[in-house]
Amino acid sequence: MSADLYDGAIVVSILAATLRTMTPLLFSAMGELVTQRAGIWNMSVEGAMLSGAFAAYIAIATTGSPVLALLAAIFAGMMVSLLNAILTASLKVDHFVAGLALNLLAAGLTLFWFRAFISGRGQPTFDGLAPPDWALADLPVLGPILFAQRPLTWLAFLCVPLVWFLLYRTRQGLELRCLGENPAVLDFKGVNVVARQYAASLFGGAMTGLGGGFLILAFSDRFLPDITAGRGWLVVVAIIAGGWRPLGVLAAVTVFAFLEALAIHAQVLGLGLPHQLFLAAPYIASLLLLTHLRHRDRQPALLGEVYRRGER
Amino acid sequence: MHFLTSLRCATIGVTAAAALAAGPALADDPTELSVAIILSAGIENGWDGSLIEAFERVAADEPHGLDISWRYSDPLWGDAAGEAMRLYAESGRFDIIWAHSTYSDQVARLKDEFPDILFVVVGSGNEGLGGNQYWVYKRVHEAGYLLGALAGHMTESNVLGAVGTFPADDVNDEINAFFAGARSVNPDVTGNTSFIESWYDPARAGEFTAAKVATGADIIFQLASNFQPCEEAEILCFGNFGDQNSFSPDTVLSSALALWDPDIRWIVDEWWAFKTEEEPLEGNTELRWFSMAEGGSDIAPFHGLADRVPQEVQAELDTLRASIMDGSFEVPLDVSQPES
Repeated sequence: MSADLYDGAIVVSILAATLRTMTPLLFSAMGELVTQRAGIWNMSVEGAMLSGAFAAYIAIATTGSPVLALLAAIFAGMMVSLLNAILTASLKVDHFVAGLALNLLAAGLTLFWFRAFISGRGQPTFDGLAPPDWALADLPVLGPILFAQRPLTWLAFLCVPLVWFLLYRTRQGLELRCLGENPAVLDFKGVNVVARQYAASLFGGAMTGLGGGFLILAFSDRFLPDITAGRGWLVVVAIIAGGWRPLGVLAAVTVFAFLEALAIHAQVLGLGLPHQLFLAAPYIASLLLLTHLRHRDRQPALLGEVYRRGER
Repeated sequence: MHFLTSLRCATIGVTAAAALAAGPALADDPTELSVAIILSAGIENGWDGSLIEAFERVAADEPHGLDISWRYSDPLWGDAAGEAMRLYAESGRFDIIWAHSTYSDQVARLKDEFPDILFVVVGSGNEGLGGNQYWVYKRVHEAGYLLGALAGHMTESNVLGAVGTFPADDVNDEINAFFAGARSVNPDVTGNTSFIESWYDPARAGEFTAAKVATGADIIFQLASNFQPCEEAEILCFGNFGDQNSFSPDTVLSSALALWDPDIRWIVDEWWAFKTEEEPLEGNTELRWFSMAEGGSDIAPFHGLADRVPQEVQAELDTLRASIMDGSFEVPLDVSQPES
């Protein structure tokens, strides 16, 4: 190949791909960050994202409307999170068991409904979310990186300061953080702990569903079973690596997405190393990050703990 | 009375002698053939979907007058696939169990227990067990070569790309043939292959495709199921195993087609001989694949993009295809891992 990694066009392509790749992860990570700060160790992120992707596919294949597809994705993600909240906040089921069970349920149901939907025929095609066609996209360097992105990418980045503001500059945010640290205090004040955890879960599910919807509408021309391919798990890792802080999570998602984009371009350019090494790079990085950050434990004190009034 | 008894005995004796002389009584020839199919990726995937389409075509022809029916599983691997095969076998309802990928480990545990069932395994990674296991192989490298020749003519940047799932003998062959075909008509062609190492990740496949576009590729052989980047970049792409044009009518110029019809007919014939002529099941232990001339592969029509192909290119492609079909040109078979 004539180009190399330092070629200007390749650098631009890597950075543009980084922002694209970040988008579904960032939506989900900001949502699940809120859920986890409320004390729910949500392991059903993969299932919620997959459900969102599937719902978006069904909606766009039947209506052709990207708006309805995104709304369907948000609704589907909220339904998975609602189930998770019922199991964990109301029924006091172990958070890990509930989340893993919901992932299996989502994988099975989406596969079953997908097969029922296409019923042996070729799957319907659809027009997804195209980047806006405007003059700014033609700007050198910045155009392809920033302005050839879909508007939802900008919205995903906007979510970071919004979630930060919610968590650290509002009373509701303070109470939400308190849910993960010491819910008995809120309970003592007369705040409905379970209702707040439901609200945080639904917000997380909505954002993760939106991420799943973006994944299929912006990246794919078809639905495939398990199309999320582990991105939900990557979100969980990013939240841990980011120390349950919005900016930390943003940094972790950026690192993963950049390494993924770099790995793809390095393989495409044929740099002479085994391609499996490039593909493993984001996951190796996540392991290193988790190992390195282990001693800087910022995990909410009662994250994943089943709260029962009067026990603490 | 004694006479009647003697006559009856004589009649029975003659009838028995006649029956013995004629050999064992032949059962009526079967009229139905029931096939259980273990899928590896799901019918929406070109590999599996093209098999079901071929079954529909063959069943419509009713070979040997058979009413062929089939039932397929969800994607299954490993022990789950083995358990499904056992359930199908124990049900007694299926004559053939067609396991459409690398399943010879699972078949090895079942084939002797169910000697009257014909097992089929497909593609690379299998072991030729013989007996009642048959090993179907699929090479579409001749189609890949034709697409490559077309790409070699159509490219303006002289940079081509291929995006695959996993490297394997029966994947490498068609990718190598694609680039060989391109270079046969355009020695200036460069490009390489990327493997996404996943069956189910169109998003990653899309990013690989976009990266190839960024490096200058203007035609992509897409084996990993996603043509959205082709649309965004407004470049031509090729699909694999099934006709993928419906996914992106404006960009998918053609596809390498896996046609399983001769494979299915071969297996049906083997089963028929086993059932009606008492021929033992002697499955192949070496690869057996059907060439393009034998109907095992082809390229898809250009659909609405036909006018994008210059007439002289079309004519050259027709000539090349004819030479492959009549055997005057043999597409080189290279199964080494493509350059990446």
